[in-house]
Order: sequence, then C-alpha cells, then structure tokens
Amino acid sequence: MSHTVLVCDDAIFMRTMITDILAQAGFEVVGEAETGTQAVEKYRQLKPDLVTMDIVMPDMGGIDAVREIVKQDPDAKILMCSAMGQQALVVEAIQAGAKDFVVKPFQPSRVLEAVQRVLG
Amino acid sequence: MDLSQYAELFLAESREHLSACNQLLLEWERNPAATEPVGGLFRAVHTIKGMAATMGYGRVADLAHRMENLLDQLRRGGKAPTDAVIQLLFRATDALEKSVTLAVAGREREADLTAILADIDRLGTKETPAPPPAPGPAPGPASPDRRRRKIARTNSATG
Repeated sequence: MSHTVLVCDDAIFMRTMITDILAQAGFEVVGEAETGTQAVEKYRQLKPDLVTMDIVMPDMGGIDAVREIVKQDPDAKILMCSAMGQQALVVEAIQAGAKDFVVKPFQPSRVLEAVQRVLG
Repeated sequence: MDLSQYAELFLAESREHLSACNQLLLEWERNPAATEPVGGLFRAVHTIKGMAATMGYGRVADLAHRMENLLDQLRRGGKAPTDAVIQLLFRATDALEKSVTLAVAGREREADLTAILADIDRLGTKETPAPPPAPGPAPGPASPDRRRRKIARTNSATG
C-alpha cells in the first residue's frame, strides 16, 4: 500500500509540483492545505503517513502548525519545505517536532530522499 | 523534470501576488502606521521568490529576495515607512512584474534590474539598524492627495 501524504503550501504552484513529484514516485497525496490552520485540521481528518510543510504561510505559519500537529500526534512525520536563508526557522521547526527538511528550489531526487528518511 | 509545464501556473500565481502587492502598498500608503500590509507584502514576495527559484528564473528570484530582505527589515523595525520607501516598493513591484513576464517568455536576460537593485540596497542600508520606535505620537496623516502622488510616481519612472 502506498504512503499517504498531506501537502501544505500557500502557493498552488508549489503544491502542484510537490504532488507531481510524490505521485510519480508512487505516493498518494490525500490532501492539500494552504494555511497552517488548514494543515492542522486536515491532519486530524486524514491522518496521513507524511506531511510536507511550508514555513511561511498566511493565517498560521508552518512552525506553529507543526507544534499543533505534534500535540495531536507525537509520532507525526513532518518534512519542512524551506526557502534558502531560513536556517534559523528550520532549526525552530525541528525543535517543534519536524523530522527533516528540504530547501527550495526543489530537486525531485532531494525531495524523495528526504521523504524516505522521514518515513524511515 | 520538465519545468515548462509549470510556467503558466507560475505566471498566473505570480500575477495574483503582484496584484496583492499593489493593493497592500496602496493600503500602506494610505495608513503608514498599519502593521498588516508589510506582513502581507513579505509573504507575497517570499512566495514569488520560491516559485521563481524553482523555475530557474534567477533574476526574478534575486529581485524578490532583495525585496524580501528590505521588507523583513521594515517589519522588524516596526516603524511607519517614509514616502520614499513606499515609492521604491511600488517601483520594485513594477520591475518584478516585468521580469516575471519576460522570464516566462524566455527573455529574462532582457530584464534590466541594475538600477532598482541598487536603490533597494541603498535604502536597505539606511534602514539598518532600525532605530527604536519613537515615543511620541503616531506619524501625521497621509497626504490627502494620493492621486497626485500616483501621477508623480508615474512621471518619475525615468528618474
């Protein structure tokens, strides 16, 4: 059975690209979220095997969303998607409970390697 | 990975964010004491930066990155922007829009960003370090004649 994924990013462009990369590798993207609040709600509904999480989003940012999701499910597997120059935020996200990160611009191989690391 | 399949999506979404930038700048110009516009501007420019870098549009990403840095300084400084800052951000948004269009058309090299990047850097230097917030009353009301400013902005495009 393929792993299920929730893709969280405020840009439809990024969500589409991440979904394509994961779908081509056999993952099943079961939901998308464009704000941190949506990410928390959809995680509760869908219980995906993996979450990809943008950092800068309107409403609730990705780091706060990680905190909320980990509060619900301490075993949540969350992969942060950061832009270059956001090292401090990535560290904060890992401290909040994210398992790993990839840096934009994405290379499909890097994304898939990180996903495999997170899923262990 | 064939990135060309995402070019239309990049263009459409970038235009949405650029339109939001112009709206937010008008809002900020009307009410310089407001704190929401700078956060929205930062997020919009940050999103364009990430998308452009992913598409391999280096000039677009570079301009967006410099704008993002300036907006981050302004956001952290927490003080009302001067008219010069607002006008520079309007010009930078125009330049970003042009470079996005050129990039998608495969003509990114034609985007001449030297002047706007130099202006952003010059202003960024002035804005750092941000002085502590003034203890006095809030800045005076914005000029009532915004139309005049917009015209002035258009006329000064060559200067």
